[in-house]
Amino acid sequence: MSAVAVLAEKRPTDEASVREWMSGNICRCGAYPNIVAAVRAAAGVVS
Amino acid sequence: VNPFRYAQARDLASAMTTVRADPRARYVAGGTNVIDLMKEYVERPSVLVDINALPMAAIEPHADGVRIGALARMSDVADHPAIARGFPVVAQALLASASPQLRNMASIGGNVMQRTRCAYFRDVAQPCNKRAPGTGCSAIGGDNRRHAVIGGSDHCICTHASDLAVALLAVDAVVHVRGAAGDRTVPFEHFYLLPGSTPQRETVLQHGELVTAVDVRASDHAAHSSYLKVRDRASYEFALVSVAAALDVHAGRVRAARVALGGVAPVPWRAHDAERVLAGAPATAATFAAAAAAAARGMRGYGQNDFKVALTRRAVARALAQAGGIA
Repeated sequence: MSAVAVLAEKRPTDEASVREWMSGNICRCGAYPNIVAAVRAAAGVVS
Repeated sequence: VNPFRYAQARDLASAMTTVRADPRARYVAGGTNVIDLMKEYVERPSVLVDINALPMAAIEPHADGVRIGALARMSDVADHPAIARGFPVVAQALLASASPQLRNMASIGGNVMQRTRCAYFRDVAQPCNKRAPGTGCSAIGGDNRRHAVIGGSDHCICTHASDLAVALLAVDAVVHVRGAAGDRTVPFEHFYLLPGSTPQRETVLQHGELVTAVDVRASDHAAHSSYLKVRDRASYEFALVSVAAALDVHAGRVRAARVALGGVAPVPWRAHDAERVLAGAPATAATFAAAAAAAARGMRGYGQNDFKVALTRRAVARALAQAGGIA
């Protein structure tokens, strides 16, 4: 849900921003490298 | 959680009547603070009066600034163009607070009314003068790394946790309060009470009174303001020390300055001495260093939090450089 919101609210999609906007999802649900990569891929930043 | 009654308020007058009639009644908006405290048995309300349906969520720019309804959510205020443009310190402080999910729930009124994060306050097995007056302060002589270095008393050395409140001090905010006798306004600087011998009293509000809005006043210093938050981790953490700096610089000189500190006192702390150093002085690193020294004057630690004095000095100097555009 947070990941969808990052894109829907058009938040910046650099890695640091994705981590910050995913913050508060504790432990595994937060911003592990592959989660950050997935958000950025969905944003079209990286394939 | 202790059993409690839940009531949805349809209008402000009846909500206030319900709460005034019962010393154990509490208002609830976003619930991000009071519900936590109920789970810890720190708050044991008889009734929670849900005020979310009341028409107090608007964010309204006007000729002198912006009126922020008490039920506006932190996230909506942070994203509002009039706040981002005219009051960057407010937007930055909000975005440095909690997490996106919490900011979507938490209201502005609730934010300024939030209780301290002192671990002893939140543990009903420990003495705490704020939670249980007369039982003593466990933090003095205890685990006090996160506690106050100024403004505390022999009864309480907690810190106020709100980032927003620190920013509001730097932009000359005024709180609108609805009470039994009608509406009144309180300059934000006079809203909070130092603990003294009554740490259980935290604001000038009487039981049942309600914050209805916070007004921020447009100014050249508010438009050139900045928030610096120093914490143990980069996100989702309270401040060890934070600084709200607002500077109106014209032709290389400071025309007006506001400096407010978080994480160092039981209330959001206005550093008047630092502002006096800044007023009329050249906007240089030397001036900012002198102001930073003035901001930290009178601070003293309780052992584990001694580091906050030097940290305050450095954070103020950096925040001023940011706000003054020489960082």
